[in-house]
This record gives sequence, C-alpha cells and structure tokens, in this order.
Amino acid sequence: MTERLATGEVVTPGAAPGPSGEDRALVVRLSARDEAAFLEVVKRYSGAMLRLASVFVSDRATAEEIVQETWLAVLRGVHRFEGRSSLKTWIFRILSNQAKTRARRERRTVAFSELEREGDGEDRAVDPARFDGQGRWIDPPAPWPAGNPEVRMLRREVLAILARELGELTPAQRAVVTLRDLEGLETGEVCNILEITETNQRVLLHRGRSRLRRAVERHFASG
Amino acid sequence: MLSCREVTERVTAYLEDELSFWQRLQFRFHVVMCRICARYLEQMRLTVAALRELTFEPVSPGFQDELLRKAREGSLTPAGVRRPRSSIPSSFPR
Repeated sequence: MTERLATGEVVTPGAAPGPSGEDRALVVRLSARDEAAFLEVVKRYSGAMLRLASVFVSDRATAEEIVQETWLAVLRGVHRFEGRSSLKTWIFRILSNQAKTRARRERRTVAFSELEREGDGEDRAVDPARFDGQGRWIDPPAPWPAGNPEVRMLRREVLAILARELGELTPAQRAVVTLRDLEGLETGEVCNILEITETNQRVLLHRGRSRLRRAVERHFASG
Repeated sequence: MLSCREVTERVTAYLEDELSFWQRLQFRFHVVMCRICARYLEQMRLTVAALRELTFEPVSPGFQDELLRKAREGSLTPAGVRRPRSSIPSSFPR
C-alpha cells in the first residue's frame, strides 16, 4: 500500500504514528476548502516549517517561499492524504521535498547519505586524544555549573550557544536534530520526513548532539 | 567491559533506547562504575533537554496575507478536486 504525495512521489508507510481524530477533522475541513481551518494549520506549523526550511537554503526569503509553496501543495493534495502518518508529518515531508529540490537548484548539497561514511576525527563524539590506549578518560569533561542561583541566566547562555552551534552542524545533522530534539518528533517520523534510514538518522543525531555538547563544554571551560 | 570512549559513542543509542538488552546492561554497568561517564551522560541529557527549549522566529508579518492571496488565486480550486462528500460534518464553518 502506498500513498501519493502532493509532490507526486510515492510514499511507503513508515513506523510513525498515524493521524489523530483532530487531524482527521482538519483534513476534512481542508478538503472542503475551509479557510479558517487553513489559517489554523498555517498558524500552528509555519514557524516550525520555516525553521526546517532554513536548514536547506541559504536565505530566509527563500525559506519562506518554500513554506508558502508547501502550503499550496498541501491544499492541492490534501484530498489524497490517506492518514498513514500524522498530518504534521505529512506536511513536513512535503516541505522537506520542496526544500531539497530548491537546495539542488541552488546547487547546495545536502548530503544525507554521505554521512553514512565512517567519520574522521571531527565526527567523533569526543576528541580521541582525550582517551588513553584503552579508551579511558585522560582529559575528562569538567562538571557543568548547575543548581545554583544563576541557573536561569546560565540556561539563557546555553540556549544562545546551542542556537549558534546548530548553524555549524552539517545541514543533514541539523535537519535531524531540529526534527528530533527541537520539534520532539519520534524517530520514525523524522525518517519518514527526511526519507532516511533509522541507522542514518541515529548517526546524524549522534554527531549533531555530540557536537552541541562539546560547544557547551567549551563555553563553560572558557569561563 | 565497555571503554569510556565506547560509552561516548553509544550514548545516543542508549538515550534513544536502541541498544540491545546486553548492550544496555553493559552501558548501565559502566555508567554506574564510572563517575566521569555518568557525568558525560548527564551532560548529553542536559544538552538534549535544552534543545527542546529553543524557540523559532515567527514568519514575516506579510506571510499569511500573501499566502492567502495565492491560495485564493487558484490553488484553492484546482482541477480534478473531488467535492467533499455530504457526510462531512456541517458543524464546521465554511
């Protein structure tokens, strides 16, 4: 059983959760060209969609265009939504396809599969030089300040570092971290949206998260 | 026994609950015995938790109006769209 997306390609059902009752009601209304329903979903998802689109293209105006094109594709294709995933996942998958197409046109390569390669030093969770020959710590991570009165200020600092470092990840790592950790989507949904395998997803997530932890560590180490 | 270095490479699989029963046991065992790896695991957890708090910028002010205009211009009535069946609840505003 397959489903045809608004973008024209065929989707095989994934392990991701299906649509909720609310999703089904929204789909019915969208199919009926209910403008209020359209505005409702546009308001609910456009910010998150823009965040994902920004991973693939260089400037914000293009990212917004991709989100708009996605919404028009959603309207055109909503009657074909068969509910093999949640509505959000379905919309995000269309977005991801539009964004990838646009990135190709801009000759930006978003290499998801390239990341299958076994990493060099840069891709290690921790610099190998910080372990001895048996793989034991010789330069262990210092504890992070926590649980003190400045904790709120610290958190704002940490969030700023993470936001900055996200921009330094490879687009593929950033896409996975964005969907899994910022959006809080399930692994199956992330794979479905980006059309990658679970193994690849985990490698990208691991490298992305590890790099983000290192950025926070560097920040605290520099005092 | 799992090395510290292996712990740092398996931490995501552990947090994502993708380790086999034995791998998971090995991992747990190491982290219980090794204070530094326990700290490392905690730092990964804190990083992931902080990521969840990152907010996104809103779309531009004119975004919705432009989108609605485009949608009304034709995409709202594409060729070949089936009219909704009469079983659609009428309680939704049209």
